[in-house]
Amino acid sequence: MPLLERVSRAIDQHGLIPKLVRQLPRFTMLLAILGVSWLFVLPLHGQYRITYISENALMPSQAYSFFRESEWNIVRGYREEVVRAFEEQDMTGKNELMTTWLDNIGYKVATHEINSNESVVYGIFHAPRGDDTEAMVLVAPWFTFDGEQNAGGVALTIALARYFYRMSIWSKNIIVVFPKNGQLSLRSWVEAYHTSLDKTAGSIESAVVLEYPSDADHLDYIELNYAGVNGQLPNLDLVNCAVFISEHEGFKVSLQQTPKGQLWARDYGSRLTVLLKSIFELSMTGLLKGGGNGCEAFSGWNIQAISLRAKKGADSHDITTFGRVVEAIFRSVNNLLEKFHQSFFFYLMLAPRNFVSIGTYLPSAVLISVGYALASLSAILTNNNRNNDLSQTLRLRSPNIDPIPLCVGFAIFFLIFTISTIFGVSMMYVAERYPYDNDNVDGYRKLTFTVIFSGVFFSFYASLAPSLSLSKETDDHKKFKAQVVRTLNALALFFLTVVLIGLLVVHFALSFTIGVCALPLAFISYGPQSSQSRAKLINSALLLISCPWSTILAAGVLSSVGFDLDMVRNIAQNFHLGTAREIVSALHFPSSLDYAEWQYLLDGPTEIFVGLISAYKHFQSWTWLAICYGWFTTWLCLWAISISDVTYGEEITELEAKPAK
Amino acid sequence: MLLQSIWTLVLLACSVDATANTYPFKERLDLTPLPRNNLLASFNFELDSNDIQLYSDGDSISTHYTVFPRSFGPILKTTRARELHLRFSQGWWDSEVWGSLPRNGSTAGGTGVEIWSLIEADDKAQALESWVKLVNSLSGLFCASFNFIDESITTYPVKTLQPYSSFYQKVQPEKQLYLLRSALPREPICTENLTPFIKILPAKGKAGISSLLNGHKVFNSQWSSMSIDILTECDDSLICNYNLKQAIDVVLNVPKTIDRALNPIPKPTPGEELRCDQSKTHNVFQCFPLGEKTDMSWDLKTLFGTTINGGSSISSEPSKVCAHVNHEHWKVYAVTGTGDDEKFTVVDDCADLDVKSTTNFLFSTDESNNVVALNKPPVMTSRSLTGHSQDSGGFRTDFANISEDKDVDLVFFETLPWFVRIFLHTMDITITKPDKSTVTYSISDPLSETVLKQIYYSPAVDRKAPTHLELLLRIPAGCSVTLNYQFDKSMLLYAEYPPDANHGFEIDPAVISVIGEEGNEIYHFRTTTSLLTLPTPDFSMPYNVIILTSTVMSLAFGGIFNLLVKRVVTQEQADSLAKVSPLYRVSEKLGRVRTRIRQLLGRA
Repeated sequence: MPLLERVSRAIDQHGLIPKLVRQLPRFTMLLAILGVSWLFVLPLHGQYRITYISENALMPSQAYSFFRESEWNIVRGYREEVVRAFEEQDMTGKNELMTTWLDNIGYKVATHEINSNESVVYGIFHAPRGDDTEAMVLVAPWFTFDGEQNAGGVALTIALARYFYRMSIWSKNIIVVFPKNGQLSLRSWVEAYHTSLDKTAGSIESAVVLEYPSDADHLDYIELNYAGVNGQLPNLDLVNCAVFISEHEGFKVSLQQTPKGQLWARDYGSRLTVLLKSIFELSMTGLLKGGGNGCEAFSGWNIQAISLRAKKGADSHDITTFGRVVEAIFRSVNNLLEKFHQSFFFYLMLAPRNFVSIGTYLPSAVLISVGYALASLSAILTNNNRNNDLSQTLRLRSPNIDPIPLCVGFAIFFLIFTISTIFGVSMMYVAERYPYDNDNVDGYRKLTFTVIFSGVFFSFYASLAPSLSLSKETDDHKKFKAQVVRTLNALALFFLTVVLIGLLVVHFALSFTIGVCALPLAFISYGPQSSQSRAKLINSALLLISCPWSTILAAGVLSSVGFDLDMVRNIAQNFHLGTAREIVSALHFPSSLDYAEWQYLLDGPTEIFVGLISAYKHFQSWTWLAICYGWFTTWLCLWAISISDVTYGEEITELEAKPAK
Repeated sequence: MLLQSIWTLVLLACSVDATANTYPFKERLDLTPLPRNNLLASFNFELDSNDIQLYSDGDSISTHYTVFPRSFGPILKTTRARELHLRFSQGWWDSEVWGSLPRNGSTAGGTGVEIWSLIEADDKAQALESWVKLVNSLSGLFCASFNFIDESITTYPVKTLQPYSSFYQKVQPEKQLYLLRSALPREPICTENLTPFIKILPAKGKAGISSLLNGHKVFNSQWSSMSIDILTECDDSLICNYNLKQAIDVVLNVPKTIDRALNPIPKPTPGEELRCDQSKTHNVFQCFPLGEKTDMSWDLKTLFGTTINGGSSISSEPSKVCAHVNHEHWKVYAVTGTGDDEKFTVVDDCADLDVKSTTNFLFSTDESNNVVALNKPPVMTSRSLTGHSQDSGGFRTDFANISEDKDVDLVFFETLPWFVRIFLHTMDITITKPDKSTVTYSISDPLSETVLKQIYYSPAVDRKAPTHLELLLRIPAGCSVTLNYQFDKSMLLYAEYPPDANHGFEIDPAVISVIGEEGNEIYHFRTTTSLLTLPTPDFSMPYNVIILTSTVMSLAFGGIFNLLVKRVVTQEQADSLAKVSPLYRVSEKLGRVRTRIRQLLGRA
């Protein structure tokens, strides 16, 4: 304690605090840089951990799998019929066919009617002697998330269903589901299972979504997807099991769509790429491709879901091997007595066998959030007022705000909050009202670009805005205005801090992404509109970069040209081989000025925007709410600050009022 | 003396055998093939005790029980249990394919163990005391966790599971009668539970139909249920005796059982044995599988691993084996003797077992799905948990009346552990008419009375009593009725979590009794168990909490202690105060000494 006293006395004597206060924006910057570089440290040796199976009961691949030999004949038999069904039957016909097959095997078949023209067939195998309280789900959507015909997946699933029925080892029920797609159809089934279906089989412990859009006998490697909405991930034990079993059967496992050529890479670059891609994917779950990879459909009901997507390529493994992977996963889950709880629910994967747990990666987003808190403090301590001499030590003795400007600041904040709420809700209403189909696609395109361009327009308005200052403002008026703006500035940044910290633990990726993208907001200053056009231009630029809609535009265009972080890594690692040109040419840039060529570029942002505004309705995803209420509110507040004309400097006046002794 | 009495006993035993005395004991095995190559085997045993004295304490004629198990007598007597019903079940009864439950469900239980008893006692407290004594005694006898039954999971059924013994109907009891019931849905039923069942039979599984009861086969079934019902039966002159009925029902999937016996390792079917659909592409690489074989021939020996070891020699009537088959497509033979002496007899309905020789039964069919007409259960029911949060949830129970012209009255009996706090006001009833139109009534709506006739509700008391809910429902013809209600989950104390707490908590199967026209219960069945997730702590957490709390406490202590013993002063005050402190004076003195020394040295 005496030591602390001495330190505090020294700080006091040297007048460090006012000096430090002036440096607060730099601290914000420093913390943000630290936060981002924290992530770049994680893939270094010694910073990440090697995965392990935490729950002893799982025992992956401990039993010999018998899905082989003559089972292959049966897979082929079913596959021919599935392929024929794709050619000849519509969805109703396919569902009828599946009903007959499942019924023949001995499953209890039922149909979930989504609406008058779509239904989902599912079959339940009540485990003999089981207590009928828990179930494992195997899903084969008729169409994969790319819209391809999932012939291999469906045939394999029905063959596995038949194979499972003959085994007498099951302690949990098995449900096989054949939805039209792994997104909305499947979500509708999962929701109905927990609310309205008559035929159920207990609480679902795990779900595996199978996709293999090919009628080939062989496949190359397995792509594993695991991201659920709102930052929910399956228990790491299940992911580990799937990886362990796949590798045991000889498959290479690809996380985050890592291309085949990179599957053997085990270096810093590959781990970093997977890490960054997983953060991007996690923050975008439920938004892209009508709802992602199939795991999203199970989010929210405490179901551990993974999706396995087989990739065609060199004929190295036959399709029963893929079946054996599923069989072994089911047998592992079947072994469980307790629910999945031993291993991590919050983690980031760096490689199939490397991960970082929440305790290791969380500081990154914490640092960024603290940066915002410091920015808010800096705002309340008048650092953002350009009328003050910012190059000097803070000379203000008491950064007080009078009660009335304080209240007005709060009132304006709530007004802006209400505006962005109304905007957010009305967008959600639009998504609820008009489905995103061929009739409305053009309308949605217009809506998206109206929103995006209004963001751009507002940003530039900040530097072009005419001075609205009243010609005869009294000092009291000026002081009042300065205090209101100061309150609003601090409040907006503090609000964003609270939102980010609230999201931090449950949805790290979203918190981190918003934190990074909105960072320029922390540096927006205010001052007189009549001069300082350079500061105003900076403000405009900051507003433009940090606008949520610009991020959507950037992300959308990148996704529609087929940009992949792996390309960057490839270029960086193999620059001397001249791969750069080859890779860049792989991007789908428009080759001419033809409108049709450019249209798909515009569809990227539209898709993301539609995904955002409809994700809450479909998947109960909070992303739109976080963006709209948190990020956009703050953005609007700071936009309002940057266009307000403040000609009153707190420090100058205070010093004038109280001349030095 | 001792030797003499043993000798007498031996003589007595020999004389029993020699004179072939018969005792009040009957046994009968019903074999009913079910669709999809399943077989329902129902073992029935019935035995009576000697006459007993209901209300005397002295040792009397009742100390000799003959075939009635000796272990039960004193327990029943001391606890004054007039009826005792035990159920051990596991598996899921597929009523769509297998029809209604054997004996109209009167002997089937829900998953796990269930027990109920009619106890005569002065008051409820005494009845509960006797009940606890009863279940504790049975716990050891049946290798089941009956000893975990206490007041917090015991209910007193009002409309369902009603007593039906002649004692209940004829005798005016001295004291009050109480019906108590409890269930342990978590109890795994295993071979150790079968052994006590075989042990209480006079032949102890050595002869008669009970020789088929091999634990490996019984528990390799699709569904199995074991039950014991002990009733006090009295005639008009009020002479009473105990009547014990034991039933063991198993549903075996014939191809699976045979496969398991012949081929214990589940290897893939050899290619040439695949049954392929000839109308589709089939070759050495490809095969579209056909459904199961329907021309079958199998015998009891393959299914149960053994033949029946002769009929029971002490039963009052010969042991019977009955086959309930559609004779157009099925042939049943009784095979007696072995080797060259093998003798085949065609069985039309029932066959009496020969006491001396082993008997096997051979079934053969050209169309195994063509079985005797199955009774459909009057109502199909399913119950599921709804909701997805950690702190609340709901139950949805669906009743479908498959009859097109007859309403069905039923009692829905549900008991929920105390940590499930149900809200009756959230209950609503949805009626789905045959044309798929639905109406929903809240329980407060008087229109709900068209379906919900009566409610008996006894709310839970924390750690003392479970929720007990009995609803008298009328399911209109052709309609299905869905019952929905919500509940909150309570927090448990740290020590109240069971082992493997993350498994979840099993909720008792609900009992459904269908009420006939005379107001009696004509069909019983249970829903499946439900698995409820409660917020479960990480059990290493308390230690983290202790460590954190201690740290915070010590920090707070330091701060408060400083505030109490220290004074806040300005810098100037601090400097001036420092000048009078002893330490300062000492250092000042030292400084002076030092300068003095320097001066001295300098001078030198």
